[in-house]
Amino acid sequence: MNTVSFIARRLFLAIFVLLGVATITFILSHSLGGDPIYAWLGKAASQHPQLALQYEAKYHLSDPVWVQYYYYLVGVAQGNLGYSPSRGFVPVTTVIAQTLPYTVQIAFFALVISLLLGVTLGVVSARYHHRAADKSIRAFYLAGICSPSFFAALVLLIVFNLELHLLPSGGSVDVGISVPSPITYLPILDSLIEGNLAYFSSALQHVILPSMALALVNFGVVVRVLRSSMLDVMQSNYIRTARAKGLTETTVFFKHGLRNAMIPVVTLASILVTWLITGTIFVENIFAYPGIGQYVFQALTTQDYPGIMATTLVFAVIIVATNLVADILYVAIDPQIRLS
Amino acid sequence: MEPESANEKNTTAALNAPPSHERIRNILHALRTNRGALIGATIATVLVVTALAVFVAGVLHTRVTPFDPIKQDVGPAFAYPSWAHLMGTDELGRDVFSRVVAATPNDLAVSFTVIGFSLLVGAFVGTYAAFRGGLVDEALMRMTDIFFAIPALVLAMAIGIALGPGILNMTIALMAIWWPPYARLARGEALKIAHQNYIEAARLSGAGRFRILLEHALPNISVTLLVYASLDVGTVILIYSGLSYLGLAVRPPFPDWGQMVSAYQDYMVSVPWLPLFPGLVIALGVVGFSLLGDGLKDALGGS
Amino acid sequence: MSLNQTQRLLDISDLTINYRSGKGRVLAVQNVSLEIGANQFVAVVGESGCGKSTLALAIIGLLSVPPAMIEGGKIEYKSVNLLSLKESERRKYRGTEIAMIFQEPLTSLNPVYKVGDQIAEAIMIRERRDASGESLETGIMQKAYNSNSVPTPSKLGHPRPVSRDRKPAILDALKRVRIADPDHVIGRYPFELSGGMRQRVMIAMALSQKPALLLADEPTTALDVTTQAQVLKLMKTLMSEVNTSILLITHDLAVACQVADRILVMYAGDLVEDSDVYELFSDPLHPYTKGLLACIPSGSKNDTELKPIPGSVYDLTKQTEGCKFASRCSHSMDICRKKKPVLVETKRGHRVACFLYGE
Repeated sequence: MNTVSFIARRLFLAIFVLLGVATITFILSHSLGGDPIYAWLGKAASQHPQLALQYEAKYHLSDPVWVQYYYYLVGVAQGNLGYSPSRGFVPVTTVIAQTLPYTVQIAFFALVISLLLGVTLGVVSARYHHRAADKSIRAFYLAGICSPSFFAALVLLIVFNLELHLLPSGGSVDVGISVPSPITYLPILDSLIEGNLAYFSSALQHVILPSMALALVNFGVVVRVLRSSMLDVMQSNYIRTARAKGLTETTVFFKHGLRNAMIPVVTLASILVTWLITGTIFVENIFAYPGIGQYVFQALTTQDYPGIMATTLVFAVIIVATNLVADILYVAIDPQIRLS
Repeated sequence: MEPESANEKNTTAALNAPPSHERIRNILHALRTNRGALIGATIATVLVVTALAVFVAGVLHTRVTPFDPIKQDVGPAFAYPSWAHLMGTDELGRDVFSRVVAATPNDLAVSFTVIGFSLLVGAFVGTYAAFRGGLVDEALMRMTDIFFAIPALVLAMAIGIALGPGILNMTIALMAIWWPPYARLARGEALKIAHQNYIEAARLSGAGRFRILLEHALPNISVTLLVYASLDVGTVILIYSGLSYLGLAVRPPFPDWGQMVSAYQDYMVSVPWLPLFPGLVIALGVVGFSLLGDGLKDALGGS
Repeated sequence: MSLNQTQRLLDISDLTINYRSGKGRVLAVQNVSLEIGANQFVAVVGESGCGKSTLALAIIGLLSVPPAMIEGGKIEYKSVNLLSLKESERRKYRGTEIAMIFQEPLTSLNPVYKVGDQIAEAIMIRERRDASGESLETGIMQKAYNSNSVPTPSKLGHPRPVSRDRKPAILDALKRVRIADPDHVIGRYPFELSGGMRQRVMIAMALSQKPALLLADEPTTALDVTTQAQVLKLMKTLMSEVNTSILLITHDLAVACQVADRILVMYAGDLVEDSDVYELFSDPLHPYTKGLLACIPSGSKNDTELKPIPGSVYDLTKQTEGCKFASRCSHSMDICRKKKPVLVETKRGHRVACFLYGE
């Protein structure tokens, strides 16, 4: 029963936070200067008078602020986030629906690579701590986390595409390959399910560099946390007991040590997602990958206010959702929290 | 020896702590022997000195860079890096090295301002929340939760849109969103101390409660906050350079590291080093401050 | 077991261990020699820092070798000098030959695995070693002792698969330590059990590997007095039920006297007295031992004040030529400050290191 109340509490907190975020975006939309309609239709609102009138009425844009606030929230809850001038004036939600799956793909691969790289190097650093391996790993990940994501992306692009001609420079897939039907709405996954291997392999080639760029600038935190966690854990009394039982050092290290040391990594994963999502704004632009990040970038350069406000909200939703999942996972793997 | 309560231990520790100048010496020694910290300190010093030099030169209407950063055609366009043009020239024949150097004050000034502001506001607000407790405290915590849910970059970006581009507006936007973690940190530290015996004793002496908490809490809070701040400098530089890349900060022809990467990116097929130089400098700057911050953390953790 | 009962189980000769610490070299254990036979309950008693824990860790081979260093001596277990073995060989003695339980049962059990699984793991190691012929009875010991060997199990290099269902064995292990509801306990995590229960679990886990020697490092110190008594009584009872000798480490002479057959007294790294428990009570020889006995409050109304031993604990970083206890000893003579006394046998089975009883 404790788990249920815990999840319920976190859920409430999540909703509260999202409310706060929506409030912030509302305030910001109102600070844009000029007609409040800009927040819904962008600066080109005057070119769509009918739509503008509709919005005026629906969202009570001539009424006092708190009325507008209420209708803003209602609108958001209904999934109405305005129209996007930078994308040919289609509803923002449509654009988000089109672009989100691609960002999810990049974020997924980036997360997997970050965790794999981070955990492996973290374990090696702990095993050989203060020796050469540890120090060189530290130099490596330091270079990573101190680099802006756009820098890492450019380096990868220049090395692997321009110089080595190994991987493609942009887009999500080669031109002319048939697109898989939407089953999960994640193209790479769908192509795998359908057996569309041409799409699958091409899409994989296109997603690897952007994901790699994001992973390289973020995996350092995982190494740091895991290393310190591993070092702590290996000093514990239960490790001494495990050795006293006659287990091999390898078994002690992995079955008893790593299993405990991994627990903080779960919380870390949710922080990682925040940074990964932010990074997509740059990385998708450099690799011309059609995700939300690229949308944000374009919205910024064309002053697409509805786009910017909406994507801020969407990012917040993704992050809050990820944190919730991480909290639930954390409860699942640490029996002490689950049962006490 | 009877076990002491945590309270008694802390009071004793506070009374027996070595004098501050000795602690500073210990810290400096710890830093000197840490190779990473030395490298970081060197890089950081070089950057700070450069920034100051550029700034002062600007005020005095001279320059310290080899060429005028915004003057075009000081060399052929897209020149290969050479002794004359250490980082080559860009599409308008401007010397890239001069531009990179001239842009140094931007990132550093923004970073220090934002962090300085966050330290002050965070320390004050956090201590107040710890002192007041109740609804005020709760409100602060929930507010910081909201800020944690939106990535700094995205929020700064959104605020930037509302305010309009420019380095000053970006600084304001960043200041507005950067202080909550500091407040939370300060609150945590202040709470630890708020119930200690010596605070109670001081209270009985009649002085104002909040002032006491501030006075006593400040030294302890400062250490934690300063360590956090030193590691944070690099982060602000990264976020600011990101905003600059997005075109929200300094606009051409004036140089700014992030913006330069974005502008030169278009030419990377023929002149790949062009966008890489400013990017490398950003990374180097962040590395420098991070190493310094790490060294400080290790040094202070020991004292 | 295929040993004769008079066979010495553990024979330590002249063991010296020092530590490198910030203050220089510290002699933790100095020229200690002792023997433990089968089915004996021996207690090593001494103040904190006297080297008793170091001794135990050295026996099982869990000393962290920097900063500790074994300077000299032998630790012979079933006639094999453990100190001459490579780590991979040494490891095979851990658990199934020499087992150890520790002071803090909460932190000594892995928090993320159920108690039943941790015991299962211990049993698995025993089963694997039995199957692959690595157990002393069937493998190594065979070579050292009997030339006409009992046929050993198939040595194809791969142990036969052991029984997957170890639950009955686990339940047995728990019942042996008198846990009332083993079915319930088997699925619990360590933090869900009380301190006394956890220590029983640790004992169960250690004994499930059927070791010949169990080292117990202050197993009851972290427990409350009532639980302490229960666990000690359990250990005493178990002695008669299983073929395991127990070496109990404790700072509490009263505890030692309750359960042990023999007491070894250590002071500042030296073994100063070694005697049967009744003998020690009726005729303590070393002044330190007498002091320790006098410290025990008898609980009678005639006790008006506690009688501590004067002076303070010996500083291990200092090297002296004479007896380390001399400065606190009310019987100290000139020779005590100049020469170090060695262990001599004054009566049968009673050794003491003190100039009061000859060179």
